[in-house]
Amino acid sequence: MSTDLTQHEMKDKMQTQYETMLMEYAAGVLDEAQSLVMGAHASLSPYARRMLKKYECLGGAMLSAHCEPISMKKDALDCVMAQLDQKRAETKDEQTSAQPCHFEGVSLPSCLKDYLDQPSWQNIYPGMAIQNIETSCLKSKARLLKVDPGVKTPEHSHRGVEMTLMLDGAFHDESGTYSRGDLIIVDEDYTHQPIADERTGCICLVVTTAPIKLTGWKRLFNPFLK
Amino acid sequence: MKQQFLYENMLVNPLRFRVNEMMEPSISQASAEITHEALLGYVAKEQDKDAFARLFTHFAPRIKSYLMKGGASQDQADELAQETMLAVWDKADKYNPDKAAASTWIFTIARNKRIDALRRMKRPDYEPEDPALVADDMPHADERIGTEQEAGILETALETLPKEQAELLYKSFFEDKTHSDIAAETKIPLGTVKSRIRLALERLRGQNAVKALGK
Repeated sequence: MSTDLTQHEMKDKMQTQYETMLMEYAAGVLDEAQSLVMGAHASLSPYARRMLKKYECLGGAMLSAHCEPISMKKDALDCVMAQLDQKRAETKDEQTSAQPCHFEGVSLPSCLKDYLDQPSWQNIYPGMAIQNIETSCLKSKARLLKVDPGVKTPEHSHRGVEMTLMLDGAFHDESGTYSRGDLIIVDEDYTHQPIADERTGCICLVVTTAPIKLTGWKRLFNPFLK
Repeated sequence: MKQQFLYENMLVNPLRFRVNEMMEPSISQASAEITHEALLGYVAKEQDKDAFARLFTHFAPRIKSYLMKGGASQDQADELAQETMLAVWDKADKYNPDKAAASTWIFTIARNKRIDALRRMKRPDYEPEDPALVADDMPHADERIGTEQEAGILETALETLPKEQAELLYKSFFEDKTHSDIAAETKIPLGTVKSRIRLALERLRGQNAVKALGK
């Protein structure tokens, strides 16, 4: 199916998909796994943060000027005013700073800290290993994926959406080379076989919303299904 | 939108307004429409409860409405709106008017409160003090994004959107729906939902560009 679209159309589609998910993340409608990818991506991408700010500005404009107010309870203001002094006193000492997240010698976005404990890689294919990430999601699955240098991902397509955030190293496929901070979002139209960088291999955060299925003769072997 | 244009000096330095007030009593006597940005500034710097009450009066009923559209009951929404405004009070010292409009900043607090209470999850997000954070590469480009000026332009521009486009933005931001959810609910094809939203955003950005040029 990927041959039906030209390279240009493919990139355009990926860009639209990317902007859509940025907006959905800013609006707060993505699930936990997808939000995790976007939050980690935003840590590594000033461009993404600028886009998010624009969408949040839109949300604020809508909230402030285009959301018909519904009266608060009569005592609501008084109730809140009464708590103001106490609130200030309570949170004066709560200065928490972001905890750095190190994993396998790689410095990762701090939002991943609560999701990664000790390395516990499972080999799923020669030269490829995953570490599952627990979330509350029913439809989305999150995992770290480690690919050894020069290894080519088996031919696979996927139903639903697949988000891949590069964390370390690089990989390349028909549409280009990707490295730390890059986020690739593809849907079921896109069949791709990324190759990990020949020197460094790569580590990425992958979230899928439906089981990946293998196409081609390797269909018999489907390590991504869990 | 009067408030955007009167007292523009105030949003640069809210304290300066106070000094002017003392020196030129005629200003303080005029019925001042103080921006939300300035009010937040008073809350942050002086723990000004009157300023906070004015913010509450404007934002709490809208946050309540926002939360109800997102699925909260009336009682729940009232309580959560109160908690949101308490968080605004609490975090006001972190607010920077150069970085965001008041409505932008308050929206993010309300959004996170909604995710926390209605979706029962902590929103994974980037943290500004994260050692792994890649710093802004274009500090000047950031200056205008999401600030009071842009918010003001957007508020006006939203009124000019065709109903079919505005509706989709409201569903995205207020009703906790992804584009796919919207397509399923409205029976509009997903591709059409995406292109209508894209058109809406382009239209809104177009207004931005025009205003920026006019400046």
